[in-house]
Amino acid sequence: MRQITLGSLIRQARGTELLCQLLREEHALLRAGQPDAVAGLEMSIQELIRQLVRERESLADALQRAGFAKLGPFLDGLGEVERRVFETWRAKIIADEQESARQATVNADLAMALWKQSGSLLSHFQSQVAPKERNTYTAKGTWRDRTATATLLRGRF
Amino acid sequence: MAGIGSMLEIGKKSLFANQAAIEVVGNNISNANTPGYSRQAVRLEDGMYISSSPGQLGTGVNAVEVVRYFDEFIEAQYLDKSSDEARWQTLYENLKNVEMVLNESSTDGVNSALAAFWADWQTLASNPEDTSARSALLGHAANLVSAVQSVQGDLQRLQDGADDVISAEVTAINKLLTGIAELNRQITVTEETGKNNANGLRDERTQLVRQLAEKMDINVIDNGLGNLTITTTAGHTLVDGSNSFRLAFEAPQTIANLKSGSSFKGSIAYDGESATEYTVKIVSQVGSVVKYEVYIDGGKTLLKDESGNSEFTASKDGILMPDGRGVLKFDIGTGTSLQAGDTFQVLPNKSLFWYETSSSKVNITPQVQSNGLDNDRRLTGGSLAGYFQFRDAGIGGYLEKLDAFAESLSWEVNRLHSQGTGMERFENVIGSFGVGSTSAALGSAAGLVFGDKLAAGNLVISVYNEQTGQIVQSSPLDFDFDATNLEVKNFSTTNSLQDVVNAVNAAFPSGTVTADIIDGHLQIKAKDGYDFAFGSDSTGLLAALGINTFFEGANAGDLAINSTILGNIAYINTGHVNGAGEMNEGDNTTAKAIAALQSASVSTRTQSEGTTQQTLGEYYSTIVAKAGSDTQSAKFNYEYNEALATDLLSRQESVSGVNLDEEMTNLIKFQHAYTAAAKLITTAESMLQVLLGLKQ
Repeated sequence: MRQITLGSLIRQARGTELLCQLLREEHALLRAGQPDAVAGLEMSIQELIRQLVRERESLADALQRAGFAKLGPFLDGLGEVERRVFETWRAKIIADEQESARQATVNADLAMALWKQSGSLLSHFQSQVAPKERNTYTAKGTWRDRTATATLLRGRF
Repeated sequence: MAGIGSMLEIGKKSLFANQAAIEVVGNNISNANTPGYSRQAVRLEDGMYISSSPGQLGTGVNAVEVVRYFDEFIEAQYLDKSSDEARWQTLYENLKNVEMVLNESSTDGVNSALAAFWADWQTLASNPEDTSARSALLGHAANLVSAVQSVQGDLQRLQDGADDVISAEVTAINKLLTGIAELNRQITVTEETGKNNANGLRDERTQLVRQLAEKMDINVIDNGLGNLTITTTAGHTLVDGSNSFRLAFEAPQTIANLKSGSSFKGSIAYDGESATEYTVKIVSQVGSVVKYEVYIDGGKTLLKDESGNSEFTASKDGILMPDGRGVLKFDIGTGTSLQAGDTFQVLPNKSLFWYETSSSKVNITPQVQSNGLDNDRRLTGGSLAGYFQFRDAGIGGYLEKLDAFAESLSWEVNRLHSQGTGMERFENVIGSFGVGSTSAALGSAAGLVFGDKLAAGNLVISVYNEQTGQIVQSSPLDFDFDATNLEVKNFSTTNSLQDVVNAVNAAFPSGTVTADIIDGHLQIKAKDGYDFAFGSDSTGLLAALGINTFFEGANAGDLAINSTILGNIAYINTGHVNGAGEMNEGDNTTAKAIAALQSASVSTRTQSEGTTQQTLGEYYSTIVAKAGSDTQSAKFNYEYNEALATDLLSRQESVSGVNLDEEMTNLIKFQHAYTAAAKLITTAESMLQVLLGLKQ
């Protein structure tokens, strides 16, 4: 059980460390304005997160099978020296998780701002291209007034 | 009329048009790497048509004008983001310097000196008579004072440096404004809409506008030709066509805004140092009593003192700011008076003004308010906003906290030390803190630095025979001496320094100890053959007057070790005088109490953060942590705005940048057109030859 837990903690620590690196790389790509590269990287990040969740679930299952509700009670049963090793890996996972969360927030903010900026430019271009006056005479010469936007009801009550 | 002559004309016009197009392509290629150059193209229009048989025949091509590819909409957004980027970049790069000043990882700083200081008091508590422990304490205390002053000095230098840079930036801005106005004039003279575009001048103007946007937040309104209007986002006009306005970075000053009908014609001056702008509002003047309120944040936030009072009474020395960082001095003038509602804008630092006319000016100094938001009636972007934010909200905030730390350290240590006794008694002692008025209440109007910390209570002075050390008299002071009623009256915060002198002199009628005032400082002297020591003091009077204290000074800049202690380490107090007036060898009461301060929560107050309760070490750590978090926040904002600005710039580049592949294609296209036009002329010429040869 100790080997299983320690192995899982080490894999999780390495995984969260890699997650930090990928998020930092994503940040650099966002700053450099390379959305294509960001999209590819984001796929890797999501896959890594999925694997980390799987790793955590399998550890939780293994602990429960061994009669431990969580990791804490399992660590309580270890000797001082051995426990320190486990705690070191756990602390590393927590630190990297927090750094990943911070970096992900920053990346999300930046991506959202770039998206909004592109959106506002697109709206502007569309407003320049779209005809302001949509009312026209038909081919038969009748007047046809159309609303500028889609509506369910029209006219006056 | 169609004919061979018309063909020759079409060929000629085509030659000219394609030649012009090739020249513009050549100019684009040669300027492919020129910063700020916008791609140009010749606008070709087909010539007039002649109605004839078989129908309308064209007359060739006209090269109408040379146009410049430029997206004004993207540019407006880019200018906006570039201002924000420059602001946060400036702030980030300058805050990194503050982090270096506060960084203690590689050098000994305030925290390590503070730890050594507390440890020495602990050591002294174990060996109160040990002179080597006293010397060590003095050395570490000197280190602590020096470390605090070093941080204060470094921050002050960074603040002064910001002033120098701002001054240079304002000069550069004024040059840019006149430059843009001059280009506007030239564009108006040169351009003829639809025919002659001053593309080079427009590029040059765009470059200057971009440089301006990096220095301040601007709003650009293009009315065509050279009629370009630039304002700050708050609406102050900077350039209007060929006219430019100016900015000025002026010395600290006080500006009076008097109510209509106010008869005040006196002079005003501010004496003090602060990173905050104040607005002083007169509430009332009855006779010589002037009541006032003080606001910050451009009049939005009302300042209150530690007790929660917001309305104050001016002393004859002037108006004391509630944060204690300066005095507004009035000379009301003969026959004039202040009126309720008269306000005075106090600018303790050099400030930025926009000159509407040569005499009328508006304060546009960037200001970050207490709630963290910008004052949107001032500048809010560009490197200028960054430098001002660094100078006032940034360093100003750290200096305020550092001063609060030094003030708390000085007061808390002095409060305990002043009630103790060392290895020697006093024959003569002069207080290090003075008052402005010897007859005013010590707790409020006298101008005593620690006046607000005084409390009602009493203090005891004990007199000894200098030779034998035998106690002669030990008396609590009577602060309202009445010869017929000998009941001891406690000290009240409304008592003046003169009342203290009277109380000392009355307590020792035989003159063994006498008190006097020297230049606003209390002096206590013993008669020859006698000396004295201080007992318990529940008033805080001794610490507030700087008598029997460990430190002098009440802020980071003037914090020092009391000169009496520096002259003789025997005056470092470790013990106390007991109720019987005795000083016992080996008494460590005071040393223990001061050592316990290391883990005691003490009150520290700043205007921006109010009163906090934590240990002095923790409080100093918050200054370091605040600098770190401010730097990280500035870094995030810088990178965020940089990414957005870069994105917009790349979009603008995709419109106005020169693509060499595209130019090469155009070159080939126009070259072939030119060749074809030439061929047209030779064809027409040969057709003419055929016609002329018909006769032969």
